[in-house]
Parts: sequence; C-alpha cells; structure tokens
Amino acid sequence: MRRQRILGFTAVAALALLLGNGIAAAQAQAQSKTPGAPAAPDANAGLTREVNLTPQEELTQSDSFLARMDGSRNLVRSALEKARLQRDVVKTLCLNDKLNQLDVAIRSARERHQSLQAAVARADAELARHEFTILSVLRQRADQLSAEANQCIGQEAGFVGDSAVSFTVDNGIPADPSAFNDPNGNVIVEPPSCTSCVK
Amino acid sequence: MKSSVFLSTVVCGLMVLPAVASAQDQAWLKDRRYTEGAGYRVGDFELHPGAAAEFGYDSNYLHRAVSEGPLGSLRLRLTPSLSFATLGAQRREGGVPPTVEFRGGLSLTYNEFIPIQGTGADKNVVSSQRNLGAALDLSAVFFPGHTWSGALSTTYLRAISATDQGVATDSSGKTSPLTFNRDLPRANAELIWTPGAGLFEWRLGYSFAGTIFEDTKFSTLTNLNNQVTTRGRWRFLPRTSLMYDASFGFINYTNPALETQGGKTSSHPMRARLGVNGLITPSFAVLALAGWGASFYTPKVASDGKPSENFDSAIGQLELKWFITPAASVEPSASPSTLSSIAVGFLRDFYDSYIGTYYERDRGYLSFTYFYGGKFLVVVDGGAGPIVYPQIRIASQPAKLAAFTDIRVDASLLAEYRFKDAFGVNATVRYNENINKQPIPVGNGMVDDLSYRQIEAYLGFRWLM
Repeated sequence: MRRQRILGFTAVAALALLLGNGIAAAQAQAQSKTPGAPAAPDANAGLTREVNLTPQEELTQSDSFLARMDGSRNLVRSALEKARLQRDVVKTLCLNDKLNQLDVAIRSARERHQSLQAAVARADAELARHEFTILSVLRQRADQLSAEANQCIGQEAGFVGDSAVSFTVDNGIPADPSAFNDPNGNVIVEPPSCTSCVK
Repeated sequence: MKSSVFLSTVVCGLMVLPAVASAQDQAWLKDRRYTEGAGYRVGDFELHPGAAAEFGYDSNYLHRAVSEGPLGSLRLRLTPSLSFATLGAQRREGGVPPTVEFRGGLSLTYNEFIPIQGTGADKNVVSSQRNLGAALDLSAVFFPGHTWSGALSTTYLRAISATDQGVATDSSGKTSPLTFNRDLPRANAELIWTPGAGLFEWRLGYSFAGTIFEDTKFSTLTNLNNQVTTRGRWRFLPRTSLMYDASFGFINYTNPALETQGGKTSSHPMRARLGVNGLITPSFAVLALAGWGASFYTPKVASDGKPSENFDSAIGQLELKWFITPAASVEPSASPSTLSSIAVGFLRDFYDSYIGTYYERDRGYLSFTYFYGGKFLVVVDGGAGPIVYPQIRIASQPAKLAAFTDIRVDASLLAEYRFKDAFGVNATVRYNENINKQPIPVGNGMVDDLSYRQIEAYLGFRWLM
C-alpha cells in the first residue's frame, strides 16, 4: 500500500513537472511574439549575417574584398608619404600605425582567401562559408582602419602658430567699380550759345 | 586686404581730374588710360610724353543757330602732353607703396581755323578764333594704404569756348575776338578714413572751383565756388559698395549785376545721394544713386519782390555696365580699371546757370569702349535729354520769361589703330545739337536763339609713351 502511494506521488510530481515546463515554454514564446516589445540585441553586432551565396559566389566576393582592402592601403600609404614630406611627425606616426594594421589584415585576408579557394576546389561548402565569414570580418576591419587613418591630424591642427593669409585674384573680374575716382563736385558749366543774353 | 585699400587709394589718386578732362574736346585726353603709353622710368618716377595732330572739319564752331548763319571751317589741332607719376604698381612689382604718391600732367591744345564759308568778314571772324587751351594738374595721396590718409589735388584749365558773335566791335570800329574763354583753377583736399582694412571708407573734403572769364564783357559771370563734401562707402562685397555722397556749396559771383537786371546771385547748392555701386556678377556692374538736391539762391526774394527760382527736387543716377573683357592683369593693383565695357545710364542733376538761376539736366546716355589686342581702340559716347530752365529774369523785360526746355543731343566716336605700341592713327567724329523752341529776348525786339547744331570730323595721328 505504501509502495503504491509512493509510486502515485511520483507520477503526479512528474506530470506536474511536465505541465509546468510546457506552460513556461509557452509563456516564453508568447512573450517574444508580443507586438511592440523591444527586439533582442544582436549579439554578433552585425559581423555575421545569413547569406545564401554559393561557394563560387563567395570566392568572387572575396576577390572584391581584397581589391577594396588594397585600395584602402594605397590611400593610406599615399597620405603617409605626403605627411613624411611635410615632416609632420604626429601625422606620420598615426598613419604608419594604421598602415601596419592594414597590412596585417590584408596578409591574413590573403591567407584566408587561399583557404577559401581550396575549399571551393574541394566543394567543401561548410569550410568555404567559414573562410568567407572570416574574410568579411577582415574587410570590415580594413574599412575601420581606413576611416581612422582619415582622421589622423597633423601638427598644424594641434599647434596654433603664426597665421598667414594669402589671396588670389580672378583675372576675369574687373577692378572695383565702386572706388571713388574723382573729387566731388567741380562740374564745368558751359556758357549758353548766346552772347547777348549774358552780357 | 591691405592691397585692396591701397588699390582704392591709388585709383582715387590716379584718376583725379575729371573736371579738367570733361572740358577736353579730344576723347583720348579725357581719360589717362587712353592718353598714356608704356612710359619712361626716371628714378622713382615714370614719364608719359605724347603728341597728337588732327586735321578736320568743324561745321559750326561758333554754335550759331541756323538763323544766325553757321560758319564751317577746316580745323587743325596740335596737342602735346606730358604726364608723370610715382612708380605705378606694375613697375613697383608689388613692393611697399611710398608714403606719398604723386601724379601730374600737362597738356596744351593749339587750334587753328581755316574758314571755308561766308563772306570775307565771316572768314575773319572764324580765323580769329585761333586759340591755345591748356590743362595742368597735380595730385598727391599721402599715406596710401593706411587707415588715415589724405588726398590733395590742384588743377588749372584754360577752357576755350566761342561766342555766337565771335568778335566784338568797339566804338572805333575795330574788331577783337569775343569769347567765353575761362580760367578754371581748382583745388581739392580730402581726409580719408578707411578702417577695417578698407571695408569702410569715409571722406571729408573741401573743394574750390574758380571760373574766371577772360573777357571783361563777361566779368559779371566770374564766380567762386567753395564746397564742403563728404562721401563714403561700405564694401559689403569685395567690389560692391553701399555708398553715399553729400555736398554743400557756396557759389559767389565776384562782380554781380543786379538780380533785377538778370544778374547772377549767390547760391548754396546742396546735394545728398545714397545708393549702390559695384559688381553684380563678375562682368556686370550697376550704379544706382538717388537723393535730393536744392539750390538755395539768395536772396530768396529779389528787391522787386519777385522770388528767386530754386531747384528743389530729386536727383540721381542709374547706370548699368557690362565689362566685355577682363582686366589686363591678375595683380589686384596692376590695372586700375577694365578697358572694354558698354554702359547705359541716366543722370538727373542741376547746375548753376549763366542765364536765369539754374538749369536741370536729365540725360540718358550710352557709352561703349573697346580696346582690342592693345591695337585697336574704339570709344563711343552719346547722350540725349532735356535741359529744363525755370522762369528767367531778362534785363529788358518787366516780367520773367516763362520756363522752357531745351533738348540736348551729343555723340562722339573715337577710333584709333596703334600700328606700333607708341604710334597710332585715329579718327574722331562729334555731334552736338541744342534744340530750342524759346528764343531769349535781348531788347529792341531782338531775340537770341539758343539752338545750334555742330558736326566735327578729324583724322589724326598720335605718339604716346
């Protein structure tokens, strides 16, 4: 008798646990579908996204990633050379740092690109997607570094010294017509063409 | 910005002689830009000598009405000139301007008349008109480009004007030329304040103008005009200004006849104008000035109880100008103005008159200047409009002559081809006409007709350095 009571109690408890869990799960689904409720934040911060590209398309896309990263590096390198010519130490250091980081990102991107090519050749779609995702992250990193390089400021902005104003004059604009070009008054009045009327 | 201030001051200094220039017959004498060539550098000065000879026809030098018998003649004009100045901006090559900038000029014009019309007496009248005109000017600008600066100028002009009679006959029957020739000494002084690196400019000045008739028969017309002037501008754009000018004058006749006999009396002309002047687009400029003028003749009421006629009305000027070609140099101070332009405008003002008290002039005008390739120069200037006379007191008439209006038409064309930098051949055509419907009674039932028509045409050559 006692044994039967223990079995019954256990069965009821198991049933209650099962029902409670189901109700809780239903509450969670209902809460997520409530209109107007704030969406849950994206833990991936936009770095990953669902794309439906074929491995071959991923390979093509990764080529454009590399080209874009190379372009960014060229721009930063050009700015660095200009800063060196101007002997702007502050700007040179800033741009040099950004260029080094860009080089690292590009080198890594090239390695990943080779892996992607190999995966595509093997028709390994899972690995290709993995490599493509990493390439996307590297491309975004390069974009960020390029933007930071554009914000590198030089000595002239950090130190206010003597200022000088220079001007250029457009050859097509006439001289100032409003300049005073005669003394006021002094109009010469001509005598009338009759002698008798003024004698 | 200092260059802009300097430019303004230089321009004022360089072109300070419109009073002299306006009395010149030759279009190229009216404007230094046409008078001067490359010039010679002598130390810190530059010299611009020149000489011109013209020969042509003058249809009516005496300004006679048709009823009075106009006399045409051949006419020879010889004009040597010399101008000098401290080094201009071009030769100074942008260096520091001197403390004093100086400029001066001298020109003489000899006129010889060869009569071809009329009787022997008429021909004698015409040939006796030979004369020598002269113009001398000196001007200086002190501390150009500074916040405070000053300008002084003095001019002398011998203005040549014929009378319609041409000669006078004395009691012995001897004739002598009768002319309106005048000596015109002028002087101007201005104190210039240009704060804000030339964005604002204010001038306070004094000017003297004497008009001395050489013939004693017209000594009652000799007068002195002292004038206080002020003017200023605010350059709200680099080459566009809000500007104003005002003046108050003291015109005194040194040997006046009785006002009841038609003699001239003193007056205090006052003018005030406000407007805009400058570029609207890089090649289009506008000058719009409007204001008020009043003549204030004294006494207000003559001894015979009749009031003086006074001008008391609006005055102003509107001009639209299109610069056809740009300035010759990129340097802001290198070229004082652009040579090629076309302008159309209207001017309304009043002037002290030698008959009656004043006359009002409303003149619409058109001017065209074109200088092509440094070789070919064309200057066209023309205008027309009414000259309004108020009631005029006539010595021989008990009542005033009713107000009347003349129509004045004038036009001139100068075309010059410079086959060398310093040599040019030119042609000049001038037309002047005064249309009068109200002859002036001069006693004994006689009237004097103010109308005339004059056409001049010349060919000549010029050496300019």
